[in-house]
Amino acid sequence: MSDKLKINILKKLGRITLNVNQSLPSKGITVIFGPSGSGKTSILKLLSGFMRPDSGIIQMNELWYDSKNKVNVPAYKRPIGYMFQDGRLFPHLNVLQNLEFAKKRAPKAMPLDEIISIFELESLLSEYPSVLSGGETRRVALARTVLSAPEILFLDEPLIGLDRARKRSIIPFIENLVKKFDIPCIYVTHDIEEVCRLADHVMLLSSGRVKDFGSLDEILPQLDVATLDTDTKLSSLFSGMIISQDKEFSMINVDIGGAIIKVPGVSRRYSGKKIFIRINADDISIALVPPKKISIQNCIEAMIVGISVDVQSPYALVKARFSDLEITARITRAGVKSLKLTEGKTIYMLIKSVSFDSHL
Amino acid sequence: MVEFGPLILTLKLSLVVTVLLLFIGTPLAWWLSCTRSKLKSFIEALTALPLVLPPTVLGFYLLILFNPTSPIGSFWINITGESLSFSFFGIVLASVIYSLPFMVQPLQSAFENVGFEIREAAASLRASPLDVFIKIVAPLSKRGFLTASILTFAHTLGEFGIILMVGGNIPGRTKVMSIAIYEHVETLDYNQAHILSGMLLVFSFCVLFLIYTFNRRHPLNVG
Repeated sequence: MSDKLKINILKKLGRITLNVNQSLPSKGITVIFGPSGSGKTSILKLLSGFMRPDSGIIQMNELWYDSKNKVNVPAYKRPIGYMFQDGRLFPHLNVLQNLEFAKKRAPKAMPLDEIISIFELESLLSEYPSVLSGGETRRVALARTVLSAPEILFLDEPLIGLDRARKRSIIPFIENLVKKFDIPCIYVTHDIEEVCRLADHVMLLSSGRVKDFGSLDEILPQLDVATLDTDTKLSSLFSGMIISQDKEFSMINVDIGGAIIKVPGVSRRYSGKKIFIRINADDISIALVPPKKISIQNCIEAMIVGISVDVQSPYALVKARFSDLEITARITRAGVKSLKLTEGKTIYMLIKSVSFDSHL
Repeated sequence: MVEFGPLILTLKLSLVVTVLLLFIGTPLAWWLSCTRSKLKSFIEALTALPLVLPPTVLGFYLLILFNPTSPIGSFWINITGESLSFSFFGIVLASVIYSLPFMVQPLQSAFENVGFEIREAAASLRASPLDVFIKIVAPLSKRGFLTASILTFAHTLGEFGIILMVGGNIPGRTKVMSIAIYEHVETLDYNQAHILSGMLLVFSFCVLFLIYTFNRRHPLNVG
């Protein structure tokens, strides 16, 4: 349908300089992930024409920006859809009028009734934005963006400020719309759960530079490093496969790199489906022998590959390897000393809790 | 006997000036609220000048400009056959200049209050700048339009110095309320001065009262 989005831009932003040279895929969701202040939102603003690069080229099918040839297509002429953090609905128009505003100006007719039903907006049509809840506002804003028939969708932290439950209720809408309308999507977030749920590709951004780019599977092992910079909890991420379900105790058995992890919960997905597992570093305890008579269900045998100690803090990070995978635990420095932990030592990692982020 | 001539002339002048300024002030205020041009401060200062200049200074320069021997004055005589100074159109022109800040400043702040965020959202839905103005910014600034129009109208209603300088005191053409009152006081006809002053006072109060009531009953953004 559409071509790749080619970006090669330079833009000075206060203390950092945004320097991005990357082609983004024309299918699926590409997540731009990085800590606050790394320039994520600025990339979207530059792509959409709300901000002007110092130099470079932006191209998708047609040239949108070219500093050498003095091309700068204004925002309203670029075939983009932009959903802002706060929704930015027009306060003097009700929900239906907000949607119609987008539909009237779209280059091709979009099915208004169908989109209203996809986003479950039937009961909100005559309401004004000031009375909508945060979740409702996001749904209307998403629907409005889709109704403008964009060739590419920019979502700028669309779920920020919502609680977990509400986030989880909106994520399926985003998954559905990308699939149903086949619009490529660039999604900015610093929430690891959204990355795991939604990303097909990930661009890791740090201080204005692309640290890495690739499919979610390729980038996943690095994500725990990236999260060190953010307020997200330090955790290790794994892609795993459901191998069986224990319906009686509502547990799912997941294979990650040969080790079996028991995850509480019931999955609607069949055995053999891929899911993402996240283990917080604080939820891991370390033992030197496999403990018996203990309520903890998950115990992984691993070999220590690194210990980082910060004398300013009571904690130490213990990085250990099992199969081909690495997992990080945070325990006290006192614990490291009393167990005489050193590199190369075999340990048993007791995992108190596991959360899983499913991805279709 | 109450003379209605000055009253009607004053209302006519205020109305014409307000309508003209809506057409002149709106694009100017819109430009000022959007531009990043270096000219902005220059134009803003120029627009605000009537706020600080004594009407006699402005009136003096306008009188010179309107003189039949000046380019503008002679041009006006050529196309209309009438002199610009001491004419109704002359005081309209003078009032438009003198009341400009009362139209432009409230409009500019109303447009700025709409915020670039909403404008960006509209642009991302493919609305051109003019479309954004007509469909989004103008409706969201309706209170600003109302305030600016009322201020302009009321300010023109009470104008004195500049009209005296440019228009003189010609019944039916330039003799507005404030000048008629001045004349009555000069000739010690306090009765007439009382009647006209009272009318202006009550009328001005009623207009302002209506505006504040309207603003309270129709708070913005609730739809």
